[in-house]
Amino acid sequence: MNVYTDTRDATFAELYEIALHDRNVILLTADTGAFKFKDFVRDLPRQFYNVGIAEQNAISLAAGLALAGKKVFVFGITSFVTLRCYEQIKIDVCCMNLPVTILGMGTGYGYSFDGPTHHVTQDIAIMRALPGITIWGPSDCTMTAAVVHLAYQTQGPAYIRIDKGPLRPIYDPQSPDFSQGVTNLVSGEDLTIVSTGPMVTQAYKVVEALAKNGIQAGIIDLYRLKPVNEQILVDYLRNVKKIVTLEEHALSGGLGDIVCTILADHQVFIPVKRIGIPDNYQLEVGNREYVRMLEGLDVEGITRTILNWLG
Amino acid sequence: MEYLVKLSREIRRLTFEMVLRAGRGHLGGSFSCLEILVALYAGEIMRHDPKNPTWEKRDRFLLSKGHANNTLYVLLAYLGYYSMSELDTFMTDGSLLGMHLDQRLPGIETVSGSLGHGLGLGAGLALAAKLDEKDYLTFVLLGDGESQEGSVWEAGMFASTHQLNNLIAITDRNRLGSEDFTENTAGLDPLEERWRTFGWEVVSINGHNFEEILNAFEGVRIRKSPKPLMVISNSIKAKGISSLENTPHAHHTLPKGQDIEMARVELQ
Repeated sequence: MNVYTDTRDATFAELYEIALHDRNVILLTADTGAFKFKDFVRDLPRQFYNVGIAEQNAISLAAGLALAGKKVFVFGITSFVTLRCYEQIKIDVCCMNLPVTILGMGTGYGYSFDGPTHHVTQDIAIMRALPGITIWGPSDCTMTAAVVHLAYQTQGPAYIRIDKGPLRPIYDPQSPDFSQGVTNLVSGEDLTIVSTGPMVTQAYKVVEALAKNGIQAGIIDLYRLKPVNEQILVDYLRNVKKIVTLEEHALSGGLGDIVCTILADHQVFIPVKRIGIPDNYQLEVGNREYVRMLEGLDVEGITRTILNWLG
Repeated sequence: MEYLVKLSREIRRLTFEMVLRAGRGHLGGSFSCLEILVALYAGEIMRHDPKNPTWEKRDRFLLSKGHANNTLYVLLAYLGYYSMSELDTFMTDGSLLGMHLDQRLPGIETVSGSLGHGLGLGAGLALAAKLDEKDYLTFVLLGDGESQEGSVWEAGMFASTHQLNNLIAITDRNRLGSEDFTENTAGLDPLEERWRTFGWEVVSINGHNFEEILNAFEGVRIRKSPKPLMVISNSIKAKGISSLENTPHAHHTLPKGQDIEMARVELQ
């Protein structure tokens, strides 16, 4: 696997290679750009279409192409290529179980300055409610590149949450295997943080901050949000003392809800603290860390919440 | 042509009885597009084979106004896609014949029932045909009420931009939505002009007149125009049942009392 420092480059460089070898791979963009698109335009003009600012049609179009045997990837700003066209995803893609992968650009407060229109804080909640879809929340560039291949190989609907970071390089590009869906990254004596996407990078910083306070915390990266590999997740969590779920997503329906539901279903009773975005729209202007800070999702805020919870 | 008239009468009669038996359906929108459906399937417009519903060279037909399936169910059974006895299951537990379309039913390409999806799906099929150099055509039947959905126009712009002249759409212009006349809610007129300005070739016809219908589709396989084709089929909601014709309650109301027998007489 190539080494990447940008998730968009990772996504589209890998997809370009896939498309070069499979002319049934089609990429649609809802007028959202990426550096690599110039290569598609130059070399693969019959496999690349900017469909304009029309996400509903992008999804229906993708489904129509897929009905005719194409494997279609649809790229757009996450809010618009999920929430705006949710019903098209439900009926045209998922209900008919078609090989369409949605590539959503930005998660959480990734587009912080653009305000609540571009903040993506409900996508996990709504997309996980769709039967048949596979949801990937890659936490670094290597994983982003790899899950593009996994989505291509999956003969069904998929959704990849692409985030521009900042992302810590976590996984070894030489041996990327993400078939398991969940990784136990760091073991911790006192508690375990379960996180996903760019918040895994934040979790590493929180673990350092907690260590300075004498707390040994571990990290689990739950990068396949649907279907969750429940058995392995439960095996990882069964013997930890306390669990913190950490997400840059609304607490309603997000990662915390996923983890709590699975623990309850498996009758594993361990104290859980869910940290995420409360029931709130964030209208304040600022960079990502600033907006995170307002919701207590900066390193200091998360650390403080955990220490207060531990008492 | 006489055969098509007779077949339409038979399909209308059978559909009425099927819906009456079930106690619910969408007679209004099913009857306004009935002649169009009969012409497409039995008037040698579409290439299809009831004995081979997944034939690769078949034309693709998408009933985007999926609630109008009442007629389509009967027509497909009549043509041999499945047994006529299947119609007895319409709207019963476990049936494939529900209020909206299910692609598990032979002859049905997509799940359909929510409006505003079909033209985008059809554009995808048509684009794929171009890319794969296949000569099947894609037909999409839209409702006019459905055309109040913005996604229809998104697809319309894409199709004309990419010169999908293998995409043939029909708008069943019965001038009624679910509750009211379209011009009272979100007006569509001048509909022909709107489609023209969206880059489509437009033909306007009386949707209950086979001569006009067949003329509209003549030469559809050898069109020189690079534009997609829109046939505006001016029609009457619940055509054939005078107690319901052209009334807002024709959407999912069935005749009651003596209107039932009157409708039976009218449909003979």
